[in-house]
Amino acid sequence: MSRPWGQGLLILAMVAATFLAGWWGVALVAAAWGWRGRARDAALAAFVAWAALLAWTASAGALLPFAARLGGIFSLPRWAMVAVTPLFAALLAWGAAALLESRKKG
Amino acid sequence: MKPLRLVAAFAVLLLFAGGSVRRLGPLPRLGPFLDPVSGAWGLVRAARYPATASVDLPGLAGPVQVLVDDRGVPHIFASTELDAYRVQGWITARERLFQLELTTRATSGTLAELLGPQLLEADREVRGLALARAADRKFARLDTSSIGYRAIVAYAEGVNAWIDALKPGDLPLEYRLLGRKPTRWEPRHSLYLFAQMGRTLALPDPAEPHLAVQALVGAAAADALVPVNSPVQQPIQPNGSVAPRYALTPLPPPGLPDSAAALVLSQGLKVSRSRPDDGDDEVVVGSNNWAVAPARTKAGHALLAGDPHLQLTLPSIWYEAHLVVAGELDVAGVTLPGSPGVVIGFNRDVAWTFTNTGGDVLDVYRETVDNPEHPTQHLVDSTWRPLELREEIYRDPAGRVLAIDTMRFTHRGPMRKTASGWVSFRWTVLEPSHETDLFLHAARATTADEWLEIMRAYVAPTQNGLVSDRRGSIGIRSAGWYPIRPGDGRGDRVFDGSTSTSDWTGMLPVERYPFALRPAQGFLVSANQQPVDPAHNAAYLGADWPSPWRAVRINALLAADSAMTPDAMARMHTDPGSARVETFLPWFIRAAHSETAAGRGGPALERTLKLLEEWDGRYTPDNQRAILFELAMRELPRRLWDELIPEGEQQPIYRSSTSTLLALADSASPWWDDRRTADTRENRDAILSASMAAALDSAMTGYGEPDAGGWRWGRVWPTDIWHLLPLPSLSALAVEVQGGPETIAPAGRHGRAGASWRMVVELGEEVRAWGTYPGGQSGNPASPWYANRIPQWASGQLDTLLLPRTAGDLAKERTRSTMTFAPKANR
Repeated sequence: MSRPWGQGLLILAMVAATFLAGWWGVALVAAAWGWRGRARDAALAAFVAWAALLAWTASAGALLPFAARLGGIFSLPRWAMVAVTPLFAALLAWGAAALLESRKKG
Repeated sequence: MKPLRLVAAFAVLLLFAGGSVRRLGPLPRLGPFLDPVSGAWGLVRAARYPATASVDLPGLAGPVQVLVDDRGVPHIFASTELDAYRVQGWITARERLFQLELTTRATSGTLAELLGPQLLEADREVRGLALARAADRKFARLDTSSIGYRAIVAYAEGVNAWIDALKPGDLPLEYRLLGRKPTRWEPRHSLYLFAQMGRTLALPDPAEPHLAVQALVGAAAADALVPVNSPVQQPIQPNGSVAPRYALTPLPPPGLPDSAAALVLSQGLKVSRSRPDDGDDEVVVGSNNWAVAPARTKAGHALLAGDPHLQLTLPSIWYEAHLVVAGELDVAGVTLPGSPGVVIGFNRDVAWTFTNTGGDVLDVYRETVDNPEHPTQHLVDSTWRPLELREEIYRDPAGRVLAIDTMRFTHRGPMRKTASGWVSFRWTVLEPSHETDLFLHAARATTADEWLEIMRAYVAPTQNGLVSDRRGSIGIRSAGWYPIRPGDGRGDRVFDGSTSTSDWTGMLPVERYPFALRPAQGFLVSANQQPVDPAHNAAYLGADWPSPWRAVRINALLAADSAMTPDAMARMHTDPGSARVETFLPWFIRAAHSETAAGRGGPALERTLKLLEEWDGRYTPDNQRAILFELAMRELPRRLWDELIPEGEQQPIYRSSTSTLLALADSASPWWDDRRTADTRENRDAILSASMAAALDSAMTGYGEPDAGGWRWGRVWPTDIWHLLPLPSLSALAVEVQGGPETIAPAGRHGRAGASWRMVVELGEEVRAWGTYPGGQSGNPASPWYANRIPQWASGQLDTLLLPRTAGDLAKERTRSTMTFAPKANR
């Protein structure tokens, strides 16, 4: 399978896993990917997946005003509050995938 | 590189996965919080009502249709009353779940279990009032066949149905931040709300300020400064004069300190908040209501307006709703989240609203006990009586015990240990009552007479219930229990608990409550003022009444307009004029002229005089002179009432504008002499002028030059509407408002209280109504209905309330959601 298709499937898997199991799903998919693929691909897929899900959420309502309120609680500007979400997923995925990738490379 | 990469991966995973399983410090669990589907972001989706939806709800007798309009108001169409309340509970839980729990815990004294050990003392304070215990007892006594009981149970079932079906994305933000899940709602919790309202509205005991003043300046002065009867009479029950009646008797000079009073004060309850006063920034709790009979309205229909002044929060203390059961019930207005029915509102025939009477309904008793450290008995009429003991356990969020207290009760009520012994108190808020039944029955009234008749049985807190009907009647009664006390009947003292002769001998008969129906003057007004002119009815109802200025202003506006319209009624809500200014400003100006003419002025005084003379006396947001007057009004008490400033303090322990008025009437009163200036004997004009000059200095220091923009009233005197937790980013802070101390829309500087609901109702052939409150229908910060009404409220605008008779009557373009609730078999 070509890399773009593989990456695309990985993103879809991250999206589905999020629906099914939340953040756990991201970690599990990333760990599974780590057996075969690169951790950076898992991180990228998680980032895109959660960014896409945020965009999907934004289609349902006023995400940015809410982001401002939410960010204010943590002393973050709203753009940072939005950015930290897919960033969290990316770092989580990278950590899970990299752990398995490192073990695989032995 | 490999080991480094492995370590890095492990560290990252530990941080993010670990931080998702357990909280990292104050942060919520990261993964569950940031999850874009079911985390906090899910609230964006949860905020949206589906265009159509079907909901299975256990316990329904038949289908219920709910139309949510574009103001976020649910119109509930049910086939039975209980079904309406059941769905009301469900939809209130959908929008205000955290608020329901917080209010319950604030009453039961279990905030520490939710928010942490820092709330322990707050919990102890409220458990010491025994509100939840009283509410639980009331609930246990309810007639289970009564509509009140069944409605409370149905409502609770609706709330719990929402909780049971809660999806992860629906969990309110506050629970996510706290790492908690909602607790189930119990029917008795509905009664906690009224108990909490009692605490808000009926806690101050006038005995405390009276004793505090007496301790410093003696009994005669205390009687004059903290009087039973207000020196400015603008009573709720019309006294034959629309203009206020002034009874400005000369103030007795300050007397010697009274150590006995000081001792008694130390034995007092010490839970009273400072009474709302025009000098108090923070507390603007009270209310207005007024009604106009058809003969004085342009359209020939009765008009009613009301605005309860309470703590302003996000979400609001109120939730708007409309309940319809064809042929039985059709009521709209505001509800208290947690309680079935409508509290302030209207049906097709009758409109009603309330203000706080502020009657004296709490008395404190010095108790003689067997053991000062751990009493088990108290002495009454030379006989030892056992105390009721109750263990109170306080826990933290993890369930660990924080403290264990023993509450004690006499036959009068809860006890409290003070600096010099034990006291107990009796409080009508703790007496058996059945408010829910009353409100539910009253919502079906078809005439003002009928509504007033139903509300005769109301107990606590004492409320001025104003009503109007489609036939054109207007009426008001200051309802609630007023204790009959021994001796002179006054309650502004601490009683000797060792004798039963101190106990209440009964309650005032309803026939003696302040009351008016179809008054000759054609309008009625209540704004927390003394309800009845003592010249007409000397029954003791209370003392130390709030200032009359709002009542004076509203009466003046109504008297001046014999063709009232709903628009004019609505504008009155945020009228920027002030009877307080009209009363006090001329004194300042005359004093300044007098001092200046006598060569005792000076540049500061002259400038202040010029600035104040430029002022139009109105509290509009763009006004740049009102702040100067307010600062002068704040400087004045520190100079006038220096005898009331205890050693080491900066402010007098008591100050009221009506007492100041008494002093103003006597330029040579010894009160004007500031004892701190040993070489000088001041008089009235000197003190007023000094206050003005000091005000200018304060204004310039704080806000710069007068016309540079810094004095702008909206900027220097905003209102803060705090989130329940309170988190600044979820709050609406520094909201510019029209109004100031003791205007019809009272406002404190960064005050947290104000008009929590504004309503105007016209009862014509078809009822028309307008209203708003500072907040939004939803408690979800992601909802467009979270704080959307605040700009409208701040600008004094009202929405037209929609009142469809049937579901089909609500216009499609005004309908945001249609939900059908169907019975579901209990599993």
